[in-house]
Amino acid sequence: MKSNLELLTIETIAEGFRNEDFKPSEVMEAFLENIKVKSELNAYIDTYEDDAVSKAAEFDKLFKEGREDLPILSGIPISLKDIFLVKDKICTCGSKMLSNYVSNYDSTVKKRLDDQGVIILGKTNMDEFAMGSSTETSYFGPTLNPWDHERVPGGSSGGSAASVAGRLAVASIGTDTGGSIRQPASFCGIVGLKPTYGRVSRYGMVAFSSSLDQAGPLTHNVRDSAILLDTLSGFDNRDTTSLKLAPTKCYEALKKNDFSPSEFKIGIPYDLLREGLDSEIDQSFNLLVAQLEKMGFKIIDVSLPSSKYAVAIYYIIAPSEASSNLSRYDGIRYGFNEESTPETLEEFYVKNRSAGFGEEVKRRIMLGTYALSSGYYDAYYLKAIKVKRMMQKDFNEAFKKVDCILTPTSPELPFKLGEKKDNPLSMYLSDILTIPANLAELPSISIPFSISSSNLPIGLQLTSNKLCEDTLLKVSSILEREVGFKSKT
Amino acid sequence: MVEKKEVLKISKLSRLLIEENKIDSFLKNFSEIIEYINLLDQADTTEIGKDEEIVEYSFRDDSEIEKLEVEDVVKNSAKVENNFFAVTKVIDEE
Repeated sequence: MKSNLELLTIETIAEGFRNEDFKPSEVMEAFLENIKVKSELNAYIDTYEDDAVSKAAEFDKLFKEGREDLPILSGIPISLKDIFLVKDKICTCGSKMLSNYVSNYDSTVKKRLDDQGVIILGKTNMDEFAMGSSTETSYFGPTLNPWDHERVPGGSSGGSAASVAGRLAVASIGTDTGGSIRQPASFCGIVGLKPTYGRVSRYGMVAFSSSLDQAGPLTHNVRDSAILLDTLSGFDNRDTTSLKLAPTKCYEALKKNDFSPSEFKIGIPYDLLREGLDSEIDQSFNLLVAQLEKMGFKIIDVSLPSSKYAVAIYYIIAPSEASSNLSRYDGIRYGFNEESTPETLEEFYVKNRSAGFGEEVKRRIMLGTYALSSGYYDAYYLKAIKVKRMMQKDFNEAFKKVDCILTPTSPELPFKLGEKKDNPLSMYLSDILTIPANLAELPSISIPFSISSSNLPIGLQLTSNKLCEDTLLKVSSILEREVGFKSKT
Repeated sequence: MVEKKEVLKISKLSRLLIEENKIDSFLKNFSEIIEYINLLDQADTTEIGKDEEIVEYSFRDDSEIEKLEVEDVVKNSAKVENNFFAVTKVIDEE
């Protein structure tokens, strides 16, 4: 049982530790070895090998003592997107701007994982400041898709998705502002969950678009996502947008296994799927819907007419908030500093910001500045806020009729590295199916369900009403069991 | 089409410099995105009020919950003098 330890899930590794089939240090060794062997994926920006090895040895002892009070995540190796602060470690956010930034404190996400005995393997690659859908805007070079090294892993949590799909971590924690957990999960053939806005504390998570950002897990299966959501959720008084709610108890609910397809109504928003879908994705999606109906799910047409504006709304709201959030990078208190001696303070700002930020980040800061500038605020920002509310109303109506809304996660298969490099708009449009859940603050998950003729994974996306992660994960676990495919590796 | 002088104004407001040889391609992409965003003009929002949205923030007591040492706070700064951030002079002597 000592070979292929890295192929297991949180649940099965936890069981193996308790049955003394293998030890935490053996699992750790397998992952660290895999990280070295597959270094060409460029999934990690930083690894914490020494810390991880010594922590695993501590857990060896605890399990040997037969301790029964150890949480399920004890000794489990997990990676973190390089957007979460870990005290005394570098946090780059994929940017030259923060390439030397040493964190002064732990993010709440990191603390909560620590409390449950998780061993952090390291920090994963990402699009710069989480702005991108391919992980190509990272200052540290692109991450490769473990399924096909010529293709992108999606983004912005592409390093996280590749670390799980490539078996370089049991699971990973990413962030999702417009699809940045779900789209890479889909591109890499794994599960990715964006919880309800405010479910998971963002204290110590570098801000991009504060009304949309939300952290969540990338895992091999739905149960592992439930375990991590239960661990990360719950009120935190260090984040003003944190919801005053107790942690979720989704894992227990899934373990009961006392639910069946006939209890759930699934809505299909065909008005959103009429155009722009890859033909193979379209085909397999239609087969999927027919299959679900046979299984006993009630399938209902729902209408989300304002969702066609989602990308336009997003590219006003997200850059506007980013232009404000990223104004803190002045090169004085922290961040890239060119060490020149400019005449004026303004010159100093311009030099450091121009050299520290990459092209996409600059474009978004400027888009936001444009949308918020005098004369345009009403036409762009206020208008976007209003259309966003129209969209939320559509969802409210839809959830009167159904429990979950089903679409493909992405309108396209993983694309080739460099394919969209010179066309930012086409990159933006690849998030058309994931953005609506962020704008409406809804929990949403991507689950692998089919493989294309070119041997690339296709993901389905389920979205439920606010705070209904339990329903979302129940339906997901049925779909995973009945129509999902086993991971590639 | 967004005009070049507008982009230059925005770049100044953003404290970002776009290199001269990149302005044209930047302008092209920027204009395409703005054109796409103008799709919102088609949305009829007359029924939607301005201040309908209620955001519930949770505030904590204004008491110290964690303290960072000054040395730690300034350690990421390129220029520090006596535990202060040092910046270029901002006031003219005249």
